Amino acid sequence: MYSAEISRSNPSCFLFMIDQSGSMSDPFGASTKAESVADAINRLLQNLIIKCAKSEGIRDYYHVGVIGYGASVGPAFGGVLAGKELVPISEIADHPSRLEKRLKKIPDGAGGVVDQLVKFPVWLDPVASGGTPICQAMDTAHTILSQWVSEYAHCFPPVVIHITDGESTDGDPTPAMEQIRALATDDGNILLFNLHISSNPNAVNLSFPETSDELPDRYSRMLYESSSILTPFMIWVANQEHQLNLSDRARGFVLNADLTLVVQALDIGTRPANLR
Amino acid sequence: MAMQIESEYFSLPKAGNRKDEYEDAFNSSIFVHKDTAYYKFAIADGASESSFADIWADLLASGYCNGKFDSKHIHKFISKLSKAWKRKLNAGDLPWYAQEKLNSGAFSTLAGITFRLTDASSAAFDAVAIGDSCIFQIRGDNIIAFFPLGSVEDFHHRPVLISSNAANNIHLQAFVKKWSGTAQAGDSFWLMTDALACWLLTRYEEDISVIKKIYGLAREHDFIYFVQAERKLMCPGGSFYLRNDDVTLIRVNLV
Repeated sequence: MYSAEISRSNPSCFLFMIDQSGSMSDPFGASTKAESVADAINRLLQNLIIKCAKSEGIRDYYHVGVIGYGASVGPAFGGVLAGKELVPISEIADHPSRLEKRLKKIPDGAGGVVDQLVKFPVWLDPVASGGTPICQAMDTAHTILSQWVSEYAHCFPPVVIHITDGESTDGDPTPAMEQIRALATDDGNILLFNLHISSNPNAVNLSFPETSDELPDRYSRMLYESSSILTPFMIWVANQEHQLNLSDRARGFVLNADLTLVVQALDIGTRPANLR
Repeated sequence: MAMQIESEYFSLPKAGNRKDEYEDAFNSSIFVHKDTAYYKFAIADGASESSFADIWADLLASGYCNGKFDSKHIHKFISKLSKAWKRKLNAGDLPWYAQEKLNSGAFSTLAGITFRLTDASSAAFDAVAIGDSCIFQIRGDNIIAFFPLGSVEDFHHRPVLISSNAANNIHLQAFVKKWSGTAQAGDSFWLMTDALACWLLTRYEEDISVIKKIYGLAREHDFIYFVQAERKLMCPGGSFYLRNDDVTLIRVNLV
């Protein structure tokens, strides 16, 4: 299980689901929750594309979608990609909505850092309006993913990464998330990650816990219970490269992580063992 | 009679990749100075997560064989090659992701060996390696030494790689492995990139007759047939004997 080779002829799939409800305008760190999430997704798409970039261009190892939910539920890409559900990663690479110029700190090779001007592609802008229809969003994702797993039945199963503040306004999303995790290819069930951005003053920073003991409220417990157990390879990457010391019952759940940890969490979720 | 050296080269890209997507590299050279003949062989394994790794691996292997490698001053060696790597790429109007890849640099292993042949009946050699590309010394039907790794388990860790971007090479000097010794007539040295080297050690632990199999590869199509068959065979542990990766073999025979 979870050993299918990911290649151009056997691609895998990432579906990002992002909470764009009104409560996402709440402050989070130095910005708002919505800004942090948009920034994390833009960085993640960028990392994913760079992983697939080869000398001759982008290899389509992945099909990628972003579903936003708030005032409405649906694909969240802008520009040329607007309205598209799952897109080969080369198309995403070639069609950011814009390229910003940003200063990036890079090592200078002598132990210090220097600023370098880099192009920063943007696909998503922060949005915060409306309710939190998680159930409806999960149903939409289920439809998209059912089709993908039937078409690519032998491939590495899709990874779904859901970022939310968790306060569903259309009922308990537990059954809908369970249905998503029940979808499978021959190589394993879909892996669902939940990244919870909580406003609860008792919320501590937690990543990939193996119990719900330290979770502050029912929202975070619900999201924890609905998250997949990490695959052995993901645990290996987490322990080897991020010094996380996870047990084999660790779940794909992160609470109130700072942006670095979110990107780290996503890196673990997006690093299959067998990219070719 | 003085010793002589014969060598053969075999390579194949990953299954599913085209020939031009092969990212290993190999090279060799001979030069004579006074009474000594220097035979140099090198392989390099360009990391598939980086771009333009094939060019980088090629520069490292040829740089070694051109005698530019100095294990005490590795940064000097790399800095010249990095400039050559950048010159080879047309960095004018690249898309954002290619520019990003270019900034992070390409990555590769390197393993090289130099034999010094004189009128003596044995030959001295010096080898160097950074990363998990390996060199085996074969005598008769046995592996009598291998370098630079210690066991099959060592292939499961991320190898140290040489980057074309100096910022990634700060601690590299500490990972330069060296090996020196003497070889006698009849010895064979096999240079292998990681997938094939790991395959050889795994098979050898089960049955040493695998050495004959490698000796028996005569032509390119023997090698292709052999690689394709081993990529399909499962070990008792459930993985394939030969991981699907670019494979490179240099067989050096001392006669």
